[in-house]
Amino acid sequence: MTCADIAEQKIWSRTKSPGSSVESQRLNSFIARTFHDLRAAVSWNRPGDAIALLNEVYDECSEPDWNGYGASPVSAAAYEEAVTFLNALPASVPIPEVVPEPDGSVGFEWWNGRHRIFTVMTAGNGSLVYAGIIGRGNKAHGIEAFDDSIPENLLAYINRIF
Amino acid sequence: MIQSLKTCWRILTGFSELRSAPAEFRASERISRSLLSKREYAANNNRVKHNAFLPPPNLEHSVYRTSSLDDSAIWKLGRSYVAEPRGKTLKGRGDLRASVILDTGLTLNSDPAPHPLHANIIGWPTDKHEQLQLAVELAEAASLVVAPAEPPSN
Repeated sequence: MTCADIAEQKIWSRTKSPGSSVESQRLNSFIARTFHDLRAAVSWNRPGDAIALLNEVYDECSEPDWNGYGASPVSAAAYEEAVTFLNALPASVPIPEVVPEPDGSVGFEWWNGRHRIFTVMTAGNGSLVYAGIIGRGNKAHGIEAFDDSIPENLLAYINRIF
Repeated sequence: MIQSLKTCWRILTGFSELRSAPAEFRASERISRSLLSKREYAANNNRVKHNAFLPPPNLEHSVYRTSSLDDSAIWKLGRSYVAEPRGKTLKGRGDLRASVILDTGLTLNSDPAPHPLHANIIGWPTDKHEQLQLAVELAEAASLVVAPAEPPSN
């Protein structure tokens, strides 16, 4: 994790408004956008690269049956949550592959050879479904709430892949 | 007319392979999943992605038993019985041994429609994260075979 990531996480957790009013949501959105713009300026636009991949997938898979087996289209809610997820990833985390899921979710996949794969799915419902193989014989799967910051245990799993 | 003839031909050729599909699954038997979307595999690192093995809502994941077929017959089967009826292009397939599927606790069930070699992977858990874990394991064990260019139609 870089100093910039640590600073960002600390600043974000202190500045993010906990309120649910329209003003609070606007403030959070403004802060998120500001961080996004700052990172774009200083760190070769990593979230932008991933979001470009996400946009490609969303364009291709927003129609029903994109996989030929009756898949649901990638939902707008899943897409929006996926954008939030990508913007919340620390810059030290490699860009994941974006994977459309047959139930309309968006998946993110980190792969680093045999027995090293970790997957997170966003469905747009405030939870992250994850599963992976973290080295031979080590499996991890479960569900975590997603409140616009990546749960620490998921970051730890991703780091163990690389 | 041509479509009807094609359908008749598919049925006749399908039943000619009925003898090669015993009800029991051998552990070493090859099971193939046809891939109809480029988003289901990564050609650059030669692997099938987990989304190719996530089950549909009815929890019957469609596959074919392909040990008795040579490579060209597998592609023909994939095109005739999977891709063309769905109006899609066959992009590739993921091959894996039946033992890999059975070792996860999932089950294989012969389902000879639309073809005697058709089967389903069944026994999926209902929790999404457990399904995802199994899909990750199956995808990791699968071998990607990218489809050759389609022969020109006559």
